[in-house]
Amino acid sequence: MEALLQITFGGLIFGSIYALAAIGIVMIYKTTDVVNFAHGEMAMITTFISFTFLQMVGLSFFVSFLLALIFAAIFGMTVYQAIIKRVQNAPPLNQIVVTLGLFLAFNGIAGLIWGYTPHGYPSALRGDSFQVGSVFMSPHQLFILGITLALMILFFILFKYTKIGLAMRATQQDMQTSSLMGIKVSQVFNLTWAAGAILGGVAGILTAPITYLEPSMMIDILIMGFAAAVFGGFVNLPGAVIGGLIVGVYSNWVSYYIGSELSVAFVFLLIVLVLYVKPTGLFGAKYVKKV
Amino acid sequence: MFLMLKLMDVHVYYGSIQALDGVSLEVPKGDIVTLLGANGAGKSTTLKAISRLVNIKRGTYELNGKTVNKQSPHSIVKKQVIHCPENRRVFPELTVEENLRVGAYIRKDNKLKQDLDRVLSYFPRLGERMDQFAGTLSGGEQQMLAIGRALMGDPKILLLDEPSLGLAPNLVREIFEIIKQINEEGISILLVEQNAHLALETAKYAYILENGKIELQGSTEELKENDQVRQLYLGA
Ligand SMILES: Nc1ncnc2c1ncn2[C@@H]1O[C@H](COP(=O)(O)OP(=O)(O)OP(=O)(O)O)[C@@H](O)[C@H]1O
Ligand SMILES: [Mg+2]
Repeated sequence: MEALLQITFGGLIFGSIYALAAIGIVMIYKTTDVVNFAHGEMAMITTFISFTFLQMVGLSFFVSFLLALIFAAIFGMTVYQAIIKRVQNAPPLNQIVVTLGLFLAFNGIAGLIWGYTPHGYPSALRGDSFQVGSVFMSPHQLFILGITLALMILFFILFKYTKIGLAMRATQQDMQTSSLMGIKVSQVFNLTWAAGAILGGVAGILTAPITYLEPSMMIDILIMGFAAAVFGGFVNLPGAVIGGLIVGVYSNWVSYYIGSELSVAFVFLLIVLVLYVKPTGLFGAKYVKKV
Repeated sequence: MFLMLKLMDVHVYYGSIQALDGVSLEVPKGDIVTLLGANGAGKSTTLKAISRLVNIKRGTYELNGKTVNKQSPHSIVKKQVIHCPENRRVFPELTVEENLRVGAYIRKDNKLKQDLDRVLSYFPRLGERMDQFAGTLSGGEQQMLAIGRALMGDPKILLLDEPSLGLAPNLVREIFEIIKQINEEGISILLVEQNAHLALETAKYAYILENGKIELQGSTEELKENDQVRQLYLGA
């Protein structure tokens, strides 16, 4: 029982990171209709940038964190403007080739610049683990939970209560009619890529202290993030969050009770089962998008 | 106060397919003008050219004498030319209230509350359903919402694309009464319709479009008596 609680808690921490990755992927897909396989590599590059500010320039964690997120926003918009925009109306297969190409390109570029040797990456909150009931937790784990929760609330408020959030939701549902309402949809696309890249960047910066900082650090996260997105039905942000938490907890259980090499396989087995029973994903509804 | 809209010899293509082949028309101040024509004639395309959803390859589009051929949809909306599209196109997963707010998206003035009250007085049924998702409204209610949403943009010229589409006759009459009321409040209207009877009753001036060309135009009084119109569009 104690082990179960501990494993579940650990799963929630990973799940939070998967959820962050998943909302970025889903948001970008929902708004610009592109499945971004380079999402994780963009996050990895943002993490390296934060590391550069932190180690090379010697700025504090939070300043580096903020600067890296500003970088992420510009990075996201640039990728959209320079590359994605051109394939936005192309067949899905072409888009997949383009974002897979970006995945490889970013991975290679990071290797060239920063090398393939793993670096240690500090957490914002250092300090010893402590015990709550029977569960051990570290300050970094609480930092992950806190940041994730704060971002969820922030995005909820953004989408639900702000004018730009309303414009984003309208654009997701009907791009052409949105421009008839005077919404500058190209601005919405830019903003979505910026926000997606920021969410990914946060996921990367939270992951690095757990794994190591190296060019392939986000590959597993990306796979699990996709799994979480599919779970949630791929169109639904709260669904992606819950999907992320489920995937995190479940894969941690599998790792502990069955074997860590099987966790990804079991996650996808579960997804196959879910999609077999409910083809639209756990929280997805039939969704026909007008362009 | 009024805005004058003018298309001169406008050509529009979808890829290599020509949809408009030299359309010229005018919406004079404060009038209802109707644009009639068979399926595929280019009516919706004409409205899309005006709201700048499609590119004008040749010709001139003027608002108050100023050429706006190349302006963005955003700036046309800012000039208070508002397009209420074919098939309603309400945002299904936004509530009625949010749909109306999107309609007022570009506005910065403080007449919003007043305009909302006005829309709800035209369409009281929307007021009872403010928190309902637009996708769950009936077809008639969605049409009301689409018109209400366009009105929230504070139009000087309202472009209506087949507001009667798929509605029961009594509802069509109700909506056309409201269209006349909207016009009486000083909004010019360019009305695209399949229902030629109704359109000729409602508008002052009409254009008839065939294969991307204006084939016939005149006051609705005249056109109602025109043999060709009576045969082809009024079924007489
Ligand atoms: N997106 C598009 N791509 C290619 N061709 C198009 C497109 N939209 C319209 N067309 C073509 O342009 C022509 C004019 O279409 P349009 O929608 O303007 O007709 P309409 O008069 O509004 O017809 P309806 O009464 O059926 O609504 C048609 O031949 C149509 O097939
Ligand atoms: Mg049409």
